[in-house]
Formats: sequence, structure tokens, C-alpha cells
Amino acid sequence: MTVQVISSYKLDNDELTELREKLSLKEGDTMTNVVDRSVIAGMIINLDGRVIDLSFKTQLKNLQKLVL
Amino acid sequence: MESLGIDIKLLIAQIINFGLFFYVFKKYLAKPFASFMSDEAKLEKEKERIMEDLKKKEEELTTSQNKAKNLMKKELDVALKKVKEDAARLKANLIVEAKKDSQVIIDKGKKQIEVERAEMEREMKKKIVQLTGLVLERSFSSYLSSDMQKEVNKNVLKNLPKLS
Repeated sequence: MTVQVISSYKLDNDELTELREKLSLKEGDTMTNVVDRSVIAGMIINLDGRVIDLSFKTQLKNLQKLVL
Repeated sequence: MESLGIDIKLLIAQIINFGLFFYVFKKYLAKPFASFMSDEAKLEKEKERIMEDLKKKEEELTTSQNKAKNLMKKELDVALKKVKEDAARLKANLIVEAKKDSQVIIDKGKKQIEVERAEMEREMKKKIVQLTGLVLERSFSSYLSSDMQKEVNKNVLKNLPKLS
């Protein structure tokens, strides 16, 4: 499995480890961390096409949709 | 008699001649003449009567014509009055119809304005929200320090359920 994590800053090892644990990744699974400041805070996790969007930017957009 | 210059024979002959003339005249001329005169008189009377009749008829005709004229005038007046009344009624109806139509148009216009106003409000709200979102994005981008971002990620990871 290939996992891509998009965050607003480079995640440290502790964070990456915790993430691997939460995602139940195995030894052979690769995880890449992409920095994208537009995320603002939080992260977007892409698990072989399945996207878990936990970014602050998306939360703001959801709030906008709620208001509208 | 001869001393007076009267000839008896001539007198008698003249008397006989006169008598004959009178007899002939009376028998052959007087009657037809009288009859002719009587006929002429009758004709004359007839003519007078006919003239009288004609005059009467002319008067009657004039009276009838005047009556007919008056009647026609009355009828015309009545017809004109009716036409005026009809025209006034038609005018009133047209005005009522026009008012109804204009009210329909006004109502449509009001509804249209309302719809457009609501649409405009929606658009404005959308733009305001989008702008606010943009401002918030920019603000948070510059406001959130690295520590704050780490804190956020810490919470995200804490709340992220373990996937099987």
C-alpha cells in the first residue's frame, strides 16, 4: 500500500510513527509526506485512492457550505 | 204696311226662314251644342275636382313626408343615444380590462423583482461567504505558528480512529 500524507509542515518521526500505527500500515507499506502550506493545518491522507481529509482548509470550506 | 217699307211676303219669307233656321238650329245644332257645352262644363268641373284632389294629395304627401322626417329624426336620435351608451359601456369595460391587465403586469413585475432580489441576496451571501473564507484562510495561514499547527495535528492524530 502506498500512503501519501499532505501536511502544512514536514511531519516529524513521532508523528509519522503514530500515523502509521493509526493507519495500521505494515512493514512494506510506503508513506510519503508532502508539504503543502495551503492545507493551513491538519492533514490529508491518501490511501491508495481513498482520501481522508482532515485539513483545516477543508473544514473552513465545509463551514462555508454550512453557512450557505 | 207697304208705306212703312215692310214687304209682307219678304217678312213672311223671313219669318219662315227664321222658323226653319230656328227649327234646324234647335234640332241639329242647339242640342249638340248644349250637350257639348254641358260636357265642357262637366270636364271643367272634373278638372277642378281633380286639381282639388291633387292639391289635397300633395298636402297629404307633404304632411306624410314631414311626419316621416320627424320619425326618422326621432329614430336617429334614439339610435345615436344607444350608440353613445354602448360606446360608453365599451369604454368602461376596456378601462376595467386594461386595469386588470396592468395589475397582472405589475404583479408579475413585483414577483420578478422579488425573485431577482432573492437571487441577488443569495449571490451576495455566497460572495461574502467565499470572501470571508478566503480571508480566514489567509489569516489562519499567517496566524497559525508551527507550534499551533503541531498542536492541531496532535489533536487530529489523537482523534483519528485506528483503521483496520
